[in-house]
Amino acid sequence: MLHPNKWVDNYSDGLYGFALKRLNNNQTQAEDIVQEVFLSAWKSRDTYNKSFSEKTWLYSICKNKIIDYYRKENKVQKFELGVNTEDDKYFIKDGHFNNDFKPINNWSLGSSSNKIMEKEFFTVLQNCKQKLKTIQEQVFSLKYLEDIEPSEICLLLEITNQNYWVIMHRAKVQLRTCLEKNWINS
Amino acid sequence: MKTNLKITCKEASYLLSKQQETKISYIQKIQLSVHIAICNSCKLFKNQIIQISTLLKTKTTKDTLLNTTKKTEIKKALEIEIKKN
Repeated sequence: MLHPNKWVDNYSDGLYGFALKRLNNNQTQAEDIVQEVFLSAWKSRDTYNKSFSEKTWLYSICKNKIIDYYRKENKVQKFELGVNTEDDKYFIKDGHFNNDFKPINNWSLGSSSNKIMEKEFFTVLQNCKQKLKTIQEQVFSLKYLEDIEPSEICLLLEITNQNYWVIMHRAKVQLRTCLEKNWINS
Repeated sequence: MKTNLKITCKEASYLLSKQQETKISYIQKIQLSVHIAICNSCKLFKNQIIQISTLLKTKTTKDTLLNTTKKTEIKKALEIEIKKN
């Protein structure tokens, strides 16, 4: 079932963030694309495939709009898979944590924890996410902010299952390091 | 078949990250518990990634990224489109 009356309230922020990251923070372009997503989703509602959730379907339309944009502008979309050696700084050759990046603090947050700390957490997380590679940021956000299933994320981003786990692992390693350095220890 | 139960931090943190979202094999679970028993870094890693996802789940309000003027504009455009049918 599609609920077009709720689309803007439920999905526009998420789609905007998704588009923004892929459009190198071009806000006007991202806004336009979000609008186009909803309009063309409505126009092509008959083609909605029920094996996808409404949300994932809208994201896939968004992804196609972004591809169209790059094609039209004759630009090359920079889209690294984020599985290269540069990320290996977190681990040394024998597979142990690099001392500069290993977990050192026993975080104790959660339901009863300090509210100010939690508020800061989201600000710092936002900044840390910005530093991730596009694909890493997207798998992480789609899973942990948008709550989309890993299998749907793979279809949406056209990556294999294996790729998904590698990218997600890198994202978490980098995020937790960044959080520990900029939030817990600040 | 002989399986090496000893894994590295890189492998252990990969499995911990995966285990947070899906099932891992029986052998992998044993490899993990053997590793975690002797590795404090990975024990902390496990705890930290769980706390990150727990905090994200408690977040009730989403980041408002798209400005409200644009949202209203999009809503109107969509309503017009819907009324056409």
